Amino acid sequence: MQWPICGLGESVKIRYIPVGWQQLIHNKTRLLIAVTGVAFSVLLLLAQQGIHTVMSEGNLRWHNALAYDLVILNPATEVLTQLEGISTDSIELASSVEGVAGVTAVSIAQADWHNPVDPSISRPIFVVGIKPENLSFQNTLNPEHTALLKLPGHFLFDARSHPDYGPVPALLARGNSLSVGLNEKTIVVSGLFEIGRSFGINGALLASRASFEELFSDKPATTRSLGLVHLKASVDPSTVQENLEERLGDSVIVLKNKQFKQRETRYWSYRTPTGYALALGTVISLLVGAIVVYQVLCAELREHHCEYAMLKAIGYNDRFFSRLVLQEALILAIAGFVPGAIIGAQLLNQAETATGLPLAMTAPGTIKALLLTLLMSTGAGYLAKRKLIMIRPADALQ
Amino acid sequence: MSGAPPIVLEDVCYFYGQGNLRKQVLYDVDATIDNGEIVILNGPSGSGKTTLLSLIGGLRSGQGGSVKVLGEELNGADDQCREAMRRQIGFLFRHHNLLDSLTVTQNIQMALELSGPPPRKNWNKRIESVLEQVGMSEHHRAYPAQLSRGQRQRIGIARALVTHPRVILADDPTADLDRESGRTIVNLLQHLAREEDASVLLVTNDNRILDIADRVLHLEDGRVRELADAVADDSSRMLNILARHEPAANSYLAAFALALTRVASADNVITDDETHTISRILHSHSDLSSGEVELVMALSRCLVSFHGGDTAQKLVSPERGSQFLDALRAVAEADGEVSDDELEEIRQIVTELGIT
Repeated sequence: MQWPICGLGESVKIRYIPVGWQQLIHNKTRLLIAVTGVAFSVLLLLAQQGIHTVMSEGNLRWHNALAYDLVILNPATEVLTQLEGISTDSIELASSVEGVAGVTAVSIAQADWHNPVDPSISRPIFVVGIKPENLSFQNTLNPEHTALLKLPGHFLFDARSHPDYGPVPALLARGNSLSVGLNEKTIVVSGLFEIGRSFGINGALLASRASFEELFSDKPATTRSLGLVHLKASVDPSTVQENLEERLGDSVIVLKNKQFKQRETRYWSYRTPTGYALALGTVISLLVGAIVVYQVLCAELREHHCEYAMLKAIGYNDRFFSRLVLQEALILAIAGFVPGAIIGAQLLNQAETATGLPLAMTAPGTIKALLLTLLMSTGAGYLAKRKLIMIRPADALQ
Repeated sequence: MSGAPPIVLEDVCYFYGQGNLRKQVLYDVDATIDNGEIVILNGPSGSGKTTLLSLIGGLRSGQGGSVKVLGEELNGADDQCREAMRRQIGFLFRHHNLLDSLTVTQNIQMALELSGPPPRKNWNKRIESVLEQVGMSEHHRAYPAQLSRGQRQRIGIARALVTHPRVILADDPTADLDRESGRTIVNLLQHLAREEDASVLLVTNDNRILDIADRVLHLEDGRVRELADAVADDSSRMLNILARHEPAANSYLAAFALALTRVASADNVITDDETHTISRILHSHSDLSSGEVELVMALSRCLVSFHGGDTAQKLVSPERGSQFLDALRAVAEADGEVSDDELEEIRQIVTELGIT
């Protein structure tokens, strides 16, 4: 309590008086309520940030794994999980465009996966057919994987798929391969890779084009494809993009890696309720925080009405009081953010383990949450300031 | 400090409310307070005392007339100008309004912070000395909640004085205090204001502290009134109240007190010892409170000095004498006829007052 006048000597010591800080810490109960409220709001905010990370990073995991420079798409395609097909002609044509190092056709489809332990559990699985030796997946697959993919009817399973798909890694560890029912057929899972889940993908399989075609031979309509373009070194992607679009005509569009990612993110943000729920959640958590801060500041002002009127009477001006309220608002923001972030980090880590989605706090997400919290507090402080300005110096006479 | 009086009021008017509810609370108030003068502004509640003080202190913007403080016209002045003026005034209010989260030193420092850009070097010395002046040196690290009301009001005085203001405005600073600490506070205020040669305007309802003032300004219904009129009014009202509620005690006491004071003033002087004795006797012979006894005694004293003879000569001049006689005769004739008893009484009064 004696801080900041704390010297051992008996003489009067003059220090800067952090009035806002002193006023806030004087009422411990109220401070606790305020900090808890702000921390709760920060927690909500971080959860929203976590989901946002899933949207911006989780949904782009496959884009990153495919590691393309440009992509040739059916114009109707918005996300990787809902592909419309393109003709094989386009892919061949594209190979001859200047600056292109290679074009790979990738087929993508959904199939029904039967849990190897309990075949009655059936889940849709994301199946991707590639040329084993293609330039994509270089960061994800090793030569061993490539060798396995070349075997007809052999599939690789995403080890980070949802547990509903069965304990595939454990089963594989026992034997070299595993037979699983896929659609009405039986396939062999002989290896594992790791990419991870996203909103649209709970589990994934990777196969060679041949195995893929074999799997979907009876249902060609479900087969979808896109063309991944890899560029030669030191070529301007924009130029190649223009050339490709010109050569391939209107039946396809050509997007840069970044553009397709933006398209995917925009889809989840605007075309599905996720983005809306996320924005609403963020607004609500900010509102909760702002209301707590505003109420606490107003209660503080009400309680010290006469004292503040006295300060006005002896000549303190509105600038002083603006600073005072903002100081208090920022103290509350930071005091609430620290515990909120610590608890949030732990909860989100648990959630990441539980869901397999990349929910954990990221540096940009945390900074964004901090900035939003500061902004929220400042806004609440600004509103509370108007109440303070309304205190008249003559009120001190009452 | 010499020069122009620090506070000059001319035709000050003030209204509260708007439209139909508009109510005038100050009517053409004129007053001047000189350098180093201690003036008490008293009057019944609702008389506009505090409003007047708030206008002088720049706590409200004025409406009619002229309020000049330290040479600066406050009427029509903008917020900044009034703010600047307030920084030059020492304020002491009914409630000390100290920030309870700050120590005594910090609370006083808050007032110093406004005294200009901080050469904080000497602030500790200044605070030490002002705390010593109000006798609170050893409490400089205490929080207001740890102090008694009287002690808190002392800190209030220290805060008001720390910037060496030339004008101190005090609004009912003893209201929250018991008689003894109230007395101590006003004595301290008087003493320090004299030491600093500051002018003081003190608003109060407390008649017990009127004696610290050089002058009493009496405000009633928004108008300045002669103190003598106000006192006469007050006293007769008090006596009437006493007469109505305790008629027996009243007349008995009046007679008793008159008799006692007559004896005491037989030698033309009433000493303090005699006063104490009289009031002790009156106390032991009645159920009246000490205030009521004081009042009865004070009136008896007036009566005795009036009967004393020496002053009577100066009291009634020859011109007034004839008026006086006419008045007495008129009263005697009021019941139709002038009796011998009445004539005898008039003759006696004329002799006592030395009317020629």
